[in-house]
Amino acid sequence: MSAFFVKLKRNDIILITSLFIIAAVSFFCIQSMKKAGGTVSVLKNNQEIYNLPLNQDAAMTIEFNGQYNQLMIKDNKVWIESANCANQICVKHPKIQYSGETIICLPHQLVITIIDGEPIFDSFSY
Amino acid sequence: MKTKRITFLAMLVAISMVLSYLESLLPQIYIVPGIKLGLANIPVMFAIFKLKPSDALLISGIRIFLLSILFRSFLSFIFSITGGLMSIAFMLLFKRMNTFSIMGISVIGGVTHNLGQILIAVFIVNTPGLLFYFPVLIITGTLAGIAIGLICNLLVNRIQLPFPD
Repeated sequence: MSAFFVKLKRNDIILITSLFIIAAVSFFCIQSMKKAGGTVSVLKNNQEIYNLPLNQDAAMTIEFNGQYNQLMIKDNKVWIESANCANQICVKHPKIQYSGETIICLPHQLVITIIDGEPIFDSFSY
Repeated sequence: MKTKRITFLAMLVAISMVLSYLESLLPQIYIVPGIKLGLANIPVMFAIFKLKPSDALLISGIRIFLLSILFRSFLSFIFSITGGLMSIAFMLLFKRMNTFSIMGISVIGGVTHNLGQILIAVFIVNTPGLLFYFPVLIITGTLAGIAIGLICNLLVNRIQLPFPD
């Protein structure tokens, strides 16, 4: 008995193919719209707590009520070096560098987004 | 009869909880957050095809509730329940329309689960940039749906209900 193989309907094939096409098209649209980032925006509990220039290397620990995330900015790339959150998704997230890219640490309600344009506080401000 | 039914549903909940645990042991892929196989969806799919629609909702809802109060946080409860309810709603809808085989239904479940989770994530952290993850999550949702669809097809064909339904 060929119980292992599903008797596919024509609609299944159409569905799976169109999903792949939608994914591919939207992927290439997003890729082609990628712009170089300028600013690293750090939000904690939906409030911006830092606004840093992307082109300036930095290492900082964002600490709040015993929850920490160690943020690194180097060679125009941003990543989380370490954190004490439960799922470690933010630590495993690939480095980000383009405008619109985001690293999120949901357990700590921390959002790191790259936005284009100059930082509000650039190196001349302080 | 009623006792058999309750016991059977409870067993499906237990199986899906164990499958959730097994899945957490598997190595995870981190292209974007949210990629997973969805083994716990197997008993739910079984219920969709063999039992009543409300049973599918019940199994998934109880599993997520129990896992959340035992091991997880309130936030992860919100995420799981959104993805779970969204995928079950779409699977039931398309099952009713009778346009797809079990494979198509499973793929729809995988993709709408990811869609639900990404929408609630956008809402909670107020970051529309998360939608950038969606193309990758469509692909992984489709592939996971195909895998789960194969397994469910086997189970639905082979397992007889221990009570008339």
